[in-house]
Amino acid sequence: MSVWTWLTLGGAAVLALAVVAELRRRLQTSAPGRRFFRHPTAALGLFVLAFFVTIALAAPVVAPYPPYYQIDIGHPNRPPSAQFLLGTDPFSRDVWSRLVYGARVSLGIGTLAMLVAATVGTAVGAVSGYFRRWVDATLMRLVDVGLAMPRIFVLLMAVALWEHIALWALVLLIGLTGWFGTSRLVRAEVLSLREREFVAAARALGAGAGRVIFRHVLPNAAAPIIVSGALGIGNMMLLEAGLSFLGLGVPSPAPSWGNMIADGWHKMAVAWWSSTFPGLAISLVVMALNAVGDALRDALDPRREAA
Amino acid sequence: MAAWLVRRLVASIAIVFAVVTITFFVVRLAHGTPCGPAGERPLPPDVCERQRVQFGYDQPLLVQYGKYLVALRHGELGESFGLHRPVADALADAIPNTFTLALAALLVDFALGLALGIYQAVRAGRFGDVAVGNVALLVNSMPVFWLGLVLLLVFAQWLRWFPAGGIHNPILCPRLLSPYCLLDFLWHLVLPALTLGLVGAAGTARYQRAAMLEVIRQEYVRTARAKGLRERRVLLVHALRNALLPIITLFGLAFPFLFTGAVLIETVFAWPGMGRLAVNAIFQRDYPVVTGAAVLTTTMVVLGNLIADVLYAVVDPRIRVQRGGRGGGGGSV
Amino acid sequence: MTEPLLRVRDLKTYFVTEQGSGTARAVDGVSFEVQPGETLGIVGESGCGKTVTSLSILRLIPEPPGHIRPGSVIEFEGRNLLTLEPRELRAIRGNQIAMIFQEPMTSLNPVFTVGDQIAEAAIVHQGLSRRVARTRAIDMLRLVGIADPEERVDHYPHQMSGGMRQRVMIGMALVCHPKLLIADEPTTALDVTIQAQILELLDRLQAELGMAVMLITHDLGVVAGSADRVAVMYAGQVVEQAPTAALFARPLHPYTEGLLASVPRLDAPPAREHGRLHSIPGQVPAATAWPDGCRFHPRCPYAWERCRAEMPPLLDAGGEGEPGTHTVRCWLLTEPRRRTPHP
Repeated sequence: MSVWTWLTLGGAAVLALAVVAELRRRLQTSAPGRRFFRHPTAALGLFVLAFFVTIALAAPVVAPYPPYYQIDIGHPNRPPSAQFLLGTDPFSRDVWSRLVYGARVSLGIGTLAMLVAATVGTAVGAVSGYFRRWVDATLMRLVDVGLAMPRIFVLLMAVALWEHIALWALVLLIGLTGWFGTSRLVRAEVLSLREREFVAAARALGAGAGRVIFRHVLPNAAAPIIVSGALGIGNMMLLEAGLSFLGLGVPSPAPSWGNMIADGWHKMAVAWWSSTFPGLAISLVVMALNAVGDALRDALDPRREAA
Repeated sequence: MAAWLVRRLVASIAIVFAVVTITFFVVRLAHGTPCGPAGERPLPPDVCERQRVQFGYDQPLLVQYGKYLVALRHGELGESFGLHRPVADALADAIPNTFTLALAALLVDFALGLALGIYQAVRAGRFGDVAVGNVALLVNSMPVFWLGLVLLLVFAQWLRWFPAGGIHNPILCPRLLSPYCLLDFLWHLVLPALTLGLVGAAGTARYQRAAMLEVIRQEYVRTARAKGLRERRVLLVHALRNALLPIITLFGLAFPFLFTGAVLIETVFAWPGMGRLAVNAIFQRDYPVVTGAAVLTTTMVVLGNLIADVLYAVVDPRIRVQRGGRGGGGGSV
Repeated sequence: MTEPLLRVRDLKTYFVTEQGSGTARAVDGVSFEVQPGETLGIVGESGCGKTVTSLSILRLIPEPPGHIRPGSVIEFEGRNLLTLEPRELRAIRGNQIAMIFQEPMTSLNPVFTVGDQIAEAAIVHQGLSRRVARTRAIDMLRLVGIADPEERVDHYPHQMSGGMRQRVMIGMALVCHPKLLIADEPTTALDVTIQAQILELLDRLQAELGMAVMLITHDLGVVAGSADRVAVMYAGQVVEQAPTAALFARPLHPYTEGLLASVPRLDAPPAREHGRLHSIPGQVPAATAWPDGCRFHPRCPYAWERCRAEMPPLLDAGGEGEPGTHTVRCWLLTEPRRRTPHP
């Protein structure tokens, strides 16, 4: 069993490395690609992300045990060993296996929630910036209110009012409370883009608002949206972890990195591993996302094009 | 300046009002009354029915809303379902604790964040900058509650330097009266404040580094060097004073972070503040308390932004005059 | 000839370019001297290295990416500024040698009052108390011709016009009565009427305080009115150096010739046919790739093989005065008969 664990672990690492190397090779041909990889941490961040995505996708292969499987209920909290890579938790479940399956939940929720937030934020920002006047005024006041409400309270309230929250509802909730910043960003971009000649030309040719926004304005505003998206996933993951830690997010026994920390919390003194490793996993992934986001920002910043 | 301040104040009040309205209706419409649906209700049926009438939940929604607003003007936030006391009283007990924690964390956040950011900017591109930068990025990426757990594990469980939670020694210091008890309180404050402050400082340092690097390139910094000033004075007086301006915006942004963090940190460290009160209330389905905490937190966040804006205007002579001259310039800075 | 106040010998200031591959030789072997009390004009197009030269003197070049090559010498009253300890250098900056910059807008610190900024150098170098320094600042504001100095001393830079700010910059530079003032394009950012006032002010103060001035400009008109001697720079080098009158009367380097021809003149008929202003064809080459041979040859109407192959040294052009008063970096001096443009 343990040989297989090491083998899959190594396999995932090699695969992730190959993905990064291939990406690097392909992107070297473009200027933004070269700028991206000039960041020392960018490749490392990509590697961490590729690694976790790989083990998430291949969870049944990589995890030595099923995520809910209680190995020996009379003998919980085993320390990390050759057999249990990261030890076992207070419910006698293999922490490594749960971490692997938890990657699916945590990365999945983070990514999907970010997609929701980016979509809504972009739509609101584009409409607001394009139509201006009262549409803009109304939407932006809404955004002001949204930004003023501490997000965790909104989520806590929503989660508390909901009976048994389903995963998709959690994704929607996290996403729908996270688009305010993006919409401001997109609005600013659209406001400046709509004054440019090519947009005026498109309008003069009789293109409708939808066509102008989608074909002419948004593609040119893509860079900041992508960057804020990359940085946003990390935020979403942290939020999910916080909610799950409080017992209000992903319900047990489904493994998410946040509720794994909660599971191990009260046994921290005797079994530090069951809370430490999932937290470390979150930190690593969020750090990788931040590093990649920073590198993306520099790579896509058009002001750097000339340099 | 005065006109601008009034406009800014009105906008802030409008935001708080909007948040109150939204929370009120969302909670009420989602059966946020003492009598939840069967199986979910926190109280026995007879108690719940009595409370329903007592607190006016049987009246039309708009009437309730009006009453809530009127009560709010007197600083009342309704009656808790589970605590058998007014929400405002429960919050009033918790707020000082949250405030102390937030203030201590803010201190760590800015003192450490500014120092590290300046250090990084001065050593930009060299080993010290890169090392601090990467550590800051890591700490900034940590779930704040998890960092709290790790610090608890290391400093309370293993090293036994600090207590494992709570706000004071319940036997020796039930109240804060003697100097010893003050020390005891501070001793309990260290770990939670440090946790919250460290994560904040990591972000502040990144911000400060960027601001400082931007300023170092400016021509007035060259002018200061041409005057024959020491490098220390060039950086810490001429450059820093300018680099601190954008940091004030960060000060405004720190409030949501601190209150969000407080919710989690207070739970980890058993710190009897507003966050923990709210989290416990959620499990009790004590909606008035949750609503009250949300309204209060929003108010403080809005207030924080307002303070940051005013500070900005006070510190930056350009804005001060511009706003004074025009009798009210643009909104946020 | 007296001992020069400032002697620059073979100054080379290079920059490593962004990609890290090339080296920009922004200043590449510049030599000149400034005598006590005189005004030396340094003239050239943007990109010729005149600003980098002026910044190099006080070692204000950001390092990296820039660095002054070993072998360069910048002697001020006989001391090489390039080998001074930071402390010794600071004692000279703002005290013995002061500098004013092109953009009074961005060269003043926006968050301090002009009074504080003027007083600062006096406090640092002369150990004045804050109160005395403030009085000194008011005096300086009066000296540079600012009305209501007692009130203005507490104003911030953004409360002043561009011309006033440049006056403040001058006051700030002169507060310690420096022996040398380096003025880098002091009037470029200002309106024409203000330009004249500022130049007049500089002339007056120079006479009153008896300092030397290094006036860096792209504007020959500025130089004609103020400078005793002129050094013309092109592509990181001095290409011609002469007393102002001699230079205007008898420009010898084709580049100087071109510069003079491109200045509109009221006292002489248009220099070229059709009454149009002359312009030098082509552009200043990039500092990462100076041309071989004479650096001006791609734009020179007289260039021949030797110019393409071999860089001319500074040659003595004779004329009035001691040898070396008028020097030119041009092969034409060895073959004057070639001074006819190619068809």
